[in-house]
Parts: sequence; C-alpha cells; structure tokens
Amino acid sequence: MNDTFIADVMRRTAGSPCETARARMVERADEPLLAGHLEHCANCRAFESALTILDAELPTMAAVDPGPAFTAAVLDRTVDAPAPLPLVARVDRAFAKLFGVLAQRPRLGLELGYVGAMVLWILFGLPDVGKVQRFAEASTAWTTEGSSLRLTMPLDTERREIVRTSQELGSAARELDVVRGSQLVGELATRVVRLPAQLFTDEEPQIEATEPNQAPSASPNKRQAC
Amino acid sequence: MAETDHEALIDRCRQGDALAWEAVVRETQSRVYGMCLRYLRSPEEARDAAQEAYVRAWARLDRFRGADFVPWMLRLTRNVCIDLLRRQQARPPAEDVVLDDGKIDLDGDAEAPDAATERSGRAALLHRAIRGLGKLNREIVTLKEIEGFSFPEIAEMLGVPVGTVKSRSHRARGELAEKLLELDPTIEEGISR
Repeated sequence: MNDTFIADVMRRTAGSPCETARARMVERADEPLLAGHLEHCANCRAFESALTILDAELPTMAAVDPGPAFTAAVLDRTVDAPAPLPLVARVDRAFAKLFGVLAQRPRLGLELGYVGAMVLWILFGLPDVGKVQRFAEASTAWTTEGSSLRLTMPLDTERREIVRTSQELGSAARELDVVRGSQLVGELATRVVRLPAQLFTDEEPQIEATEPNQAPSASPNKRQAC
Repeated sequence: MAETDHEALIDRCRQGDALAWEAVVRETQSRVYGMCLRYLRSPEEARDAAQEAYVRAWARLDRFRGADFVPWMLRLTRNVCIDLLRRQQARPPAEDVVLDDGKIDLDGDAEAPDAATERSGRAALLHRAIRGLGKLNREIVTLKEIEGFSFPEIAEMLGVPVGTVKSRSHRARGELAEKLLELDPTIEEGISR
C-alpha cells in the first residue's frame, strides 16, 4: 500500500526514481539515498545484483589458458627461430616464392602479354596514325612528268603542307627498313613505293609551282624548292 | 610480478635472454590469448594471432618504453587481431566457435566442480550478453571491464574522446546488466544465496 502510494506520488511529481537510481549505479556513485530506494524497489535490486555480477565476473574473463603447447610454439618462433638470412638470400627466396605464386596463376600468359604491351608502349609509343594518313594524302598529290614532279592540286597553304609532308615521307621511306614489320605503316609503304625516286634522295624535291585557281603548268623551267 | 621485475626481465629479453622471454610469455600468455579469443572467437585463429603478437613484440622489444609491459603487449595484440579481422572481411568467416559451449576453460585455477560449473554457466551468460551489445560498446566494455584499460588509454586506442568513452562505458555497463537480467531473471537469487 505504502509502495503504491509513493509510486503514485512520484509519477505525479518528479517521475520514476528508478532511471536516476540506475544511472547512479552504473557510474558507481556512492549515493546514500540509493539504499533507501533499493530497499523498496525489487527491479532496481535485481539490476544492482546484475551489476555486482558484472564487477565480479568480467575481470576474471581476461585470462584464458591457451593450452600447454603454446609457450613452446611462441619460443620456437622467437628466441629459437633461426637467424635471419643475409639480404641477398632473402631477396632470392622472395623472388622464388613470388615466381612460384605467379606461375600458378591461370592467366599468367595474358598478364605477361599485357605487361609486355605496356612496356613496348612506354618505350616506343604508339604509331602516329594521323601522320600515316597525311603521308597517304601526300603520296597521291604528285604526278611525274618527265624527270620533274608536279602537284596535282592548286598552290595554296594546303599545298605547302603537302610538300613538307612529302619531304617527311621521303625520310620515313628511308627508315622503312627499320619499321617494316609494323602493320600500321603497311599502307604507307605501299604508297611510298609508287612515289617517284626523287623523293627518296637527300636532296629537296624539285617542285613545279602552280598558282591557285590555275591549271597545272607544263613548263619544266618553273620550279620551286620548298 | 612487480613492475621493477618486469623492467629487469624485459631488459634481459632485449639482450636475447631466452629464459627471461619464456618467463614473460608464460606470465602474459593467458591475457594475450584471452584477448585474441574475444576478438576472433575461434581458438585456432586466436592461438595463431597470439603467437603472431609475441613474434611482433619480440621484434619490437627495443621500441618498448615504460614500466608496464602488459598494456603495451595487449595493445599490440589488439592491432594484430584487427589486422586479421580486416583480412578476413575479404573471405568467408571462419567456423563460428561458441564460447559458451563449455570447451573453453574460462578460469585457470582449479575449483570445486559445482562452483566451476556455476561460474562457467555465468561466464557463458556474460558472453551472450556481451555479444548482444553494439560494436563500439562491446569493445569499450571489453577493454575497460575485462582488460582493465583506463579511459584515456581506451580513448587513444579507439580514436574517440575520453568523455565519449566514459559515457559509453557507463551506458554499456547498464545495458549489459539489463541483458543479463533478460537472459536469466533469477540471477539475483544466485547472488543472495
């Protein structure tokens, strides 16, 4: 009756004291008023018992016996372990181990191919596809007339570019022996073979100039070096 | 073992004294293994991790400064366990060994069979209650209430403010007590007996 009365009063005034009591208990606060509450509150008494068990039991859980062979195993791996190998031997062993692991990879061939391609790319770079196209255009821009060369297009800025590219083409043709294996220059090689021999000499090609909007002149005297 | 004894032992270990190192291992192994078991929950993995922790400690003895070897060793052990757990995240979990199946001897000293059974039963309850906590609260309870680290040490290990550790620790303790009561409402009778 008395407990019910107090509970009713607390509910209508300060609220339940259990929450405050439990907060004090978990903080291990030394609160004389707690004893009075615990005397009348069975739930908080149970809570306090649980805390007592925690305080008593948790520290005893710190140590767990690892078994009789544990110490010997640790000593084997520390003080009784063989002296470390010299650096060269360690590197050698590490490489052998790495190779062993790599050799078991099913995609080793693909990976090596990829790495090789990347190395080649880093060392030599990709062929200049734009340059190949320019060479192709340049190689079709010339016709021969006797011993002279004639551009088959009007004289303008594009034509000058064609002439310059043609000179590059001559140099490239001389280097073809080096790069003959490359598929990308195959097209270029075909066209270079068709070009007149003058382009492949060290001398600058003799070019017959034509004016814009004018038909190509047949006069062999009017030549211009680029 | 007194602190000065520890210091002297560690000094001898640094000089390669196997007997001193054996004494240190024997004295600390149950704490180290216990911590590994709580983090990894598999006796096999815990044993491997504990060995790994000692191997690291042996290699780093020169770096140990201070009087108390055990907290340093336990911090190192926790790092080994966390490294292992991180590696395990990439592969399927190991066999989940239940700590409360009675196979693990949670108390080293010999006791009367009844008392030992009661204690292991209570320990099992505690393990279950701890597992019911959130990750951070569980670690704080483990480090504070079981391992005995101070609040600042835990804050440093977990990288959270001391105030957070303190409030979390109190809250986790209350939560743990409530879970214990949920698991065994008659626990109060066991205390009053």
